[in-house]
Amino acid sequence: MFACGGSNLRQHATAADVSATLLVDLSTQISAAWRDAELAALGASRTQEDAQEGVAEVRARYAPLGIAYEAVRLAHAAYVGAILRAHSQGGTLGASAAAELADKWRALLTLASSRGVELAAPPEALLHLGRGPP
Amino acid sequence: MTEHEQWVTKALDGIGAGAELIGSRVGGVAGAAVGMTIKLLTSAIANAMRNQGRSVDDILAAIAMPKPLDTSFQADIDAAIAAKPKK
Repeated sequence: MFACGGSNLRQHATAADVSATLLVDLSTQISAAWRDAELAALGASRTQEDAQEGVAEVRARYAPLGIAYEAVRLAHAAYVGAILRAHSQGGTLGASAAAELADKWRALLTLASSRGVELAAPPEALLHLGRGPP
Repeated sequence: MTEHEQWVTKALDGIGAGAELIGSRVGGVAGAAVGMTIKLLTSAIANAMRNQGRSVDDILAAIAMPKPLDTSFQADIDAAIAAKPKK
C-alpha cells in the first residue's frame, strides 16, 4: 500500500487523462480494423454460407482482442475511480484501486463469458482487498 | 495562454500531423504503431501542459473516459450476409 495525496494525486490524474486519450484512439483503430476485416470477408464471399463462415472467422479472431481492450479500459476506469475515491475520501490510492479493480474484474469476467472467451478468475487476494478492511 | 505555450501547441499540432502522415505512408500495423506512439508522446506533452496549474478536480472532470468498442457495424454485416444468395 502507498499513500497518495495532494500533488501526487494530481500526477495520477494527469496520467489517467493522458492514457484516456490513448485508449480512445486505440478503440477507434480496433473498431475500424475489425469492421474492415468483416467487410473484406463479406466481399470475398459469394454465398450466404461462405459469408457466414468468413465473418465468423473474423469475429473469432477479434473477440479476444476486444476482451483485451475491455480489460485495459476497465482497469483505466478503476484507476480513475480510485483517484476520485482517494481524492474525495482521503484514503490511500492503493486500497481504493484494489476495491475498484475487484469490481471491474467481475464485470470483465461476465463480458468475456458472454463472448465465449475464457478468462482466469481473479486472485482471491484481490477479491479480499476489494471487500475492504473489516 | 502565453506566447511560449502557443508556440509549443503549434509545434505539437505539427508533430501530430507528421505522425499521421508517417502512419499512412508506412501502412499496416507497423504504421499504426508508429503513429500511435508519436501521438501518445505528443498527447502526453499537450496534456501535461494543459494540466499545468489545474486542480485534481478539474483534471478528473475533463477526462474523456474511453468507451467499449463500437461493434454496431455488425448489424449491417449480418443484414448483408442474409441478403446473399444461398448455395
